[in-house]
Amino acid sequence: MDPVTAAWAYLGLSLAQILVEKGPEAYFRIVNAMQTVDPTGEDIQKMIDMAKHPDSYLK
Amino acid sequence: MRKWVRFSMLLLGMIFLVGCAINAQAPKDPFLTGAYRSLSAMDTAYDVSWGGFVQLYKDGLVKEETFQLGKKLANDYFVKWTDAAIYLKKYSMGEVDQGGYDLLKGLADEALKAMKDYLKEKSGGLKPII
Repeated sequence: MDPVTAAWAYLGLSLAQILVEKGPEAYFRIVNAMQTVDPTGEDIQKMIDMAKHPDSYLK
Repeated sequence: MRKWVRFSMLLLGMIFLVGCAINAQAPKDPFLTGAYRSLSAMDTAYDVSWGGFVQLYKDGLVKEETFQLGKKLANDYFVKWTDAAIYLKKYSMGEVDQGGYDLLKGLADEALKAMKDYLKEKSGGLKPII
């Protein structure tokens, strides 16, 4: 398997793992991000807003 | 049962790859698109790694001192990732050039690696994600 195919396969499997472990929301979030082309400032702000601070995981 | 789980994961991965190929669209700004995707992937990697470690802590499997050091590394990563994302937002709005992004992204990459390595070591080996 060439390196590029291997990298894509690894990414695909990692995403499947995310789906299994974190649920569909996390899965579709990363899939949507990977399909986004030329994001706007608003898209980037949304990504920033959705990122969770380490402390928030304790709640 | 394990066979079916593995087969399902492989199938989902293949569906994703086919979906990406179908939706492939040339970006006007490859730098911006690539940087956005990279930061999103980093956030997911952090979310899975840190979320898993916090769960172990909540389950009483991680000592307080170990957890606090992990939290310090997670905070360090989070600040650096946010700096890189804010810079990218400014770039997308034409306020700054590409120049400063690589440095900020590099710092966030290093911080993420440090955090993941520490969490992996202290949790007995979390599964690698992205």
